[in-house]
Amino acid sequence: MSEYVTLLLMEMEKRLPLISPYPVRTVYLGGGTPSLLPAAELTRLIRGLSERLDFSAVREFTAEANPGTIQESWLQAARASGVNRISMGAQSFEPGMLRMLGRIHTPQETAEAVDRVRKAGIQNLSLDLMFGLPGQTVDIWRNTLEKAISLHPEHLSCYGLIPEEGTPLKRDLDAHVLNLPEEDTEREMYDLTIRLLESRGFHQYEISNFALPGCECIHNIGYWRQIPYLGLGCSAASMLPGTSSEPAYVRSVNPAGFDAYRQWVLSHEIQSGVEPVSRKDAQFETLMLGLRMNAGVSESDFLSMHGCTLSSCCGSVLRNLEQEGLMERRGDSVCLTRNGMDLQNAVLVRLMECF
Amino acid sequence: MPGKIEKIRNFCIIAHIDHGKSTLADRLLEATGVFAKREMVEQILDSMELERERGITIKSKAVRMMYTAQDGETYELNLIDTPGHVDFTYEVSRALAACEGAILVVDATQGIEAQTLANCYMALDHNLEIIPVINKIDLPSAQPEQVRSEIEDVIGIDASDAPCVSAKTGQNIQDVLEAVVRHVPCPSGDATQPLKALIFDAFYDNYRGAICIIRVKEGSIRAGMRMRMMATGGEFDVVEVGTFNPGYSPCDQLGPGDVGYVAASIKDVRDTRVGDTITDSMNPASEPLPGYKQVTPMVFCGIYPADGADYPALKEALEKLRMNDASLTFEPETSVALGYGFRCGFLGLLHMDVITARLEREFDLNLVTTIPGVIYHITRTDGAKLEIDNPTKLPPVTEIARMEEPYVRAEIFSPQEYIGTLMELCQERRGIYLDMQYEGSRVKINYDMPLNEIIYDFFDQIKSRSRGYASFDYELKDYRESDLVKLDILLNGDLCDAFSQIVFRDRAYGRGRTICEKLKDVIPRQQFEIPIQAAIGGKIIARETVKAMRKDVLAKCYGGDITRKKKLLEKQKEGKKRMRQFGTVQVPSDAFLAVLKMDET
Repeated sequence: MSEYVTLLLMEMEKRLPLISPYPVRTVYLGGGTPSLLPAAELTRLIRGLSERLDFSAVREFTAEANPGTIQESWLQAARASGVNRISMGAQSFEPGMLRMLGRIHTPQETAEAVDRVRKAGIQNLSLDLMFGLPGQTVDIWRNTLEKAISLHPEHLSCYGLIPEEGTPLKRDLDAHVLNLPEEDTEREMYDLTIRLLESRGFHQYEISNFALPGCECIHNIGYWRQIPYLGLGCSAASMLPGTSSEPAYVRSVNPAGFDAYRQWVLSHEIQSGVEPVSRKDAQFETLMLGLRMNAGVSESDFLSMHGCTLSSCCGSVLRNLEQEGLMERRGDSVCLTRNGMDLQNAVLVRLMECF
Repeated sequence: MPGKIEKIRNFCIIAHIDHGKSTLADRLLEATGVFAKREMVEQILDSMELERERGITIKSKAVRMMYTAQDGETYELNLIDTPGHVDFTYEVSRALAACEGAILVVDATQGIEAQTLANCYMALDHNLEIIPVINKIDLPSAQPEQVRSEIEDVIGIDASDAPCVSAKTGQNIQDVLEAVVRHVPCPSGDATQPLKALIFDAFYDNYRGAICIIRVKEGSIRAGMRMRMMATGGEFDVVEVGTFNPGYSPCDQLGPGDVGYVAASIKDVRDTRVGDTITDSMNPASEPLPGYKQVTPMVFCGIYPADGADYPALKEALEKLRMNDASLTFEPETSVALGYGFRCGFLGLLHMDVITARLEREFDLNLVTTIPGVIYHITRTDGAKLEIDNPTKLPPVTEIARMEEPYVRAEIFSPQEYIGTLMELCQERRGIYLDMQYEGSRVKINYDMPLNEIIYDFFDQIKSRSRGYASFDYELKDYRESDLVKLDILLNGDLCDAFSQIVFRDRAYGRGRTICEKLKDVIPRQQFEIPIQAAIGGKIIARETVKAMRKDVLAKCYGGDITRKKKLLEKQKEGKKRMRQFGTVQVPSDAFLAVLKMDET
């Protein structure tokens, strides 16, 4: 753990020139389980970062936490170092569902963990939940949503399950040991999510994200608005501005696996897994990412970002999509309709032809 | 200079697929020095890749070999290759008409097969001297003596002198050449008579135009002569005559008995009809040679480029293929569903398969092929007669007084044990039983069958029901009145013309249901619910529904997911490219194949 924090700080040091001109607005500690990091190491990490990076403008500082591992001392240290938002992988409030997902925590532990977060003085809490799970019914999901709401989080991320290749779950699904709910049932769960959460004051601002007013995750919105980010650590992804108009920006991914990552940090190479993104691709990504949000993509943002209008790029396809009820205009913006949100990939494939 | 007529031997080789015809031909060419062994490309006569792969010979050719026999005389042996498939029966008959003898190759391990027999009878009909040759004696399972007596029993020819050879190793090949010299009669013909030369093959040469391959029966042909095609009336100036050995070998003239080529700056291979008689325009023969038949396509289908932009490339490819294949016809057609394409006519299903495979392979085209059909004869209520090769051209039911469909005479040879199941198959396909003959351990059954019923998967069915042992031959017999209807498929309420077909009324329900079910499986869920309906006239007879796609979205997409998400979309876009837009519905190109490959039983 200690070595990993050291390496993270070394990496930051090396890549500092890439981002030093930019102020840091959000920090996100996630991927893996930061709550497993000993309090002292967490403090050392954040202090190390803040000594070299300008954190004065940071508005949101999120740390991911696992309900089963979250300790009071850790929360205290996090709070003291500037963490002001906790994102907790609750996943479900049904013991059977949690077991199936291979989670070690219980619904009771999640409630206790939330309690500790509040006691530590952290005002902004998000819970991750999953629906469309094998064996899950609409009623089970409603129950999970209600239990989550009763814990008064400011933010909820509700993800429809996507079985990942190579996971035991995927293996069981392929072998029909487990079966996913029917597509119609899964969408019923999604519909319920939107309806129920709206009625309790959570508005949907992205396909899977819901928040009380003003509590949207600024950091994640940054991904969808193509705001540059620097990722530190194993497999961390970065997106940094291009030097001129082409490429529009450069994405990179750090080596996966601790050993490869260590070797990379200790070597003299600075970048790894570099993928320049052309202007055209960046324009498409504006739609691909922006349309995830209920607010959609605004004409003026598109123009200022790319120097051309949205309608000059894909006006006729947009019009067709509007006619088919998949997209709509709201003021200066284009966004997906409810139906369009269900079929975002199909919409994007059609828009892709324009870029 | 071609030798004296007494020294000429014109012969062909007949054999069942795999019995070693091509290999034997190679050995003969090698033994007579036409090719040095090291120069031999395997199986010279089957020059097209596809033919070799399928073990069939599509186009015939003629090669001249000079052979000094044991009697010390040098003979001119013309080996005429014949196509080996049911679709090309007429071409085979013309090639046989150019010969006086035929080598019958029989596999020493398998004995006589149905196809061998059919060709052998055809050769006997042309009064050819049959020279049996027992091949593959190098194989451990060879039973040459048993096969020898089988030849005598089944065909009724003397096989006591039949050479036993191995075309593979070259063993006893000389015996075959000696047998040809000794037993094949020399041709006859009068050089002083007006010219009569039989065209038995033609091909397109990029530099010389269409080349006719001929057998001179009477008179002679030489460069500078004005020649006339007696059936088509076309006249051309002969530029060059010669023989193949195996390349062009020009000579002054071709006289009676000679086999060779004529180049006459003929621009279109369709001006050279197989079976036509060439005569001297200045001194024409009074009668053409017998047996000419205009070859007409029997099976039709629409061929469309999977990508509309490939239309010009498809056109060019078809034109190139037609240069060498006068029996291929095509004309532009448009389909509401498939856009611009061609209605193509073929001699039969195999011919269709070969052409589509060549288009895809040699011209790198991605095709959508519609359901094959035949020509229907329609009598309208006003008495007008129509010939319909495309279901979409069928007049409304109320205007049709009478419909007729083509029937073929189908002949199936099979070992006895499979006859039951094969007869069942013929009955299922509306076959009318004619008769049955026992030939040794094999049985021949004859049926009259609607052509429409054999163009689906009849070949495959025969093969699978007889474990590959039975073979099948057919020829067009006549047109018969039939209760036919047009079966339409509607996708989301829109008629999808590419799936329309004319079917026997009693079949329509079953087929309509099957097509709907198949399409339901191959059409992916889309933004909206898609009804798939089968209809006759305005009446819906079957319906299936593809439910609307409810979900096509990635739940999570943060910084680390973007590259992967884009790859996923690219993949989805590629998949979409393989789809055809039918009105509002996307249909994968494979859907046509699925409908075609349906099994109603």
